Amino acid sequence: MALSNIDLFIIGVYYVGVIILGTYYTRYVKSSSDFFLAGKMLPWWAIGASLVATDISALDYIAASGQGYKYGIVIMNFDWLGCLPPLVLAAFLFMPTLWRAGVYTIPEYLGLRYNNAVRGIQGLLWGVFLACNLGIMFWATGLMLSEFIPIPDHLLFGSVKAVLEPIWHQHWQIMVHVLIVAFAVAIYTSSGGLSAVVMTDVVQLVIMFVGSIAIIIIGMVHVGGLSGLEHRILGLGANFQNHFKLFLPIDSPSPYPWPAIIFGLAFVLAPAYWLGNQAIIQRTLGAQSEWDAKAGTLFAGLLHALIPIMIAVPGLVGLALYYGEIDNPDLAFPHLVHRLLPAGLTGVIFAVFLAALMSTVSAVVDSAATLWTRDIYKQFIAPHQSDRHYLTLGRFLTFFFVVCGVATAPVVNYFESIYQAIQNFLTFIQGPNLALLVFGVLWKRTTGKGALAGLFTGLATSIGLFTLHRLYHIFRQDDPFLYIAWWSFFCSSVATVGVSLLTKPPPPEKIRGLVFRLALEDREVQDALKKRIEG
Amino acid sequence: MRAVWDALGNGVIGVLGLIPLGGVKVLVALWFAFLVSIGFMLPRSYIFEGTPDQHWWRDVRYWALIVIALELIPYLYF
Repeated sequence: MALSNIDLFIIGVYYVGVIILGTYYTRYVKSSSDFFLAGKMLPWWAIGASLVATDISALDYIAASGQGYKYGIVIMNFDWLGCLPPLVLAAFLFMPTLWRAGVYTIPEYLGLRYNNAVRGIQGLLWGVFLACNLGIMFWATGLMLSEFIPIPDHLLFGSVKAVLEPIWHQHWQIMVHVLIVAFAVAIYTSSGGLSAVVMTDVVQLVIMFVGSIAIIIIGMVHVGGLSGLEHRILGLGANFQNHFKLFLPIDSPSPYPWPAIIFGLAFVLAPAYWLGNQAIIQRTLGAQSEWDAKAGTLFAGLLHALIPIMIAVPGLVGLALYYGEIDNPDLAFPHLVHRLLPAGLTGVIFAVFLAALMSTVSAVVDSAATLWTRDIYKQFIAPHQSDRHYLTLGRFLTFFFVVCGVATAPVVNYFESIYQAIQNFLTFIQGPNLALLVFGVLWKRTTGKGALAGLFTGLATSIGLFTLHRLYHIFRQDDPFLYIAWWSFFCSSVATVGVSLLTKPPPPEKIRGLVFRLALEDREVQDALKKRIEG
Repeated sequence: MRAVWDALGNGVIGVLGLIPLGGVKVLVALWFAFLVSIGFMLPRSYIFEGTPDQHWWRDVRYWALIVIALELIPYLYF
């Protein structure tokens, strides 16, 4: 795809603008709290916008429109049923409790609520996942961006190729895109911390909305509106009759029959993601007040209601207009951009991709640095260092993770199983993670031993079911990750409750302020928690 | 192994399959209603904790109501 000068100008302005905006917030970083939690000064509107920008990655545009092309609007469940209900639960029950607890990370909360063993295991699981995931994110998006804009051999008189080709061989063009993104993220995230991440997210979300709405309007005009879209797709034949159904029958061959959507997605994976994913909740923990934490979460829900339309409808429009021309559903979105958009708007869409990519990568880098600093280094390696020490380490780790992500990105290409393994790893840990958080926040009787039992049972269930499916194909779907998540959560919950009832209840002073009902009671809790954190 | 799993896991899923898709939509609507009702069961002081005033627009229960109502529309239509 060739970009015009106006496209390149728009992309350049966006790129430089984001770096300037992000580094501006360096002046507000004086302590580790400023760096990791934005000094607890984030307003609700920034939290809401940042939550959505973090959630939507550049790959979502490609994958969701591809799945929309292939399976229809059922894919919208991931951003409606899989998003808004957990956000409402988070706003009313979970975020206020976590915010009042004054923690920096979810494992830190679990450590206070249960014990250090739970904190250590959870910190390690999430720390490893987030760090490893960076290489995959870099590679996948570099690959995608290079499909949009192939880097010419003569860029900067051939000097770029001369420097990069000996290092990355035939992948040097993909790595140019990776380096461009990594440079910006490393600069503003390691200097401005969470403030920079959140404030750049706000700008990036605006760009994402503008670009996406433009392509939808143009696409819908071409297909003749919603009724024209429906008429064209349903007219394609018997294979497309379920394309406008949000719930598919139980015998549907797609990975999304309704029980999988309800039990696997709505009850497990979605709440686990929105309540227990450090990259997501960190901006809420940096809210300037408890009300801002609640309002920001609900504002994210309001904004998120538009996301399925923005990322899945282009796939449907692509199907309606270019069925037969597109071999790979994942190319529906790029095809649409290529065929429909005029000069200038193509640059905006490319900026949308960059925005979506950078907002997600910066959030993952920031939260990985927070986890490794707070839950591994400070907890187990060097607990009594100065605040300045942890701030410096946080900055170093942010930069280090970006460098590691860049270095490991091309490796993913040689080992497809690495990508699959990381995705499976996330499915394995989501069920038990959710069970521990839900029972920790909502049930004061849950004990540390119950939590450990639940954690190991959940992990064993998900790994066991996954292995059995590989050996005996025990599920009816080829990729039953939603069902595995559900059973893992279910077994983890049973073990957590069972062992908790068989062991001695935690003393009231240990769980004061850490359980929803107890946190609701009085403001003294806040002072007690502050002392405990400082101690 | 497959027989055991068919009896346990897929058996449960099979029973769920008896519910018509219209019934699933009703269940989802009830789930949404329950979520909103959680907010209205909480004390007003908890809802407004951390706000400088108690203007109606700061009542996040109404925010939740709008969010859920917006989401309900596509589920009723499609």
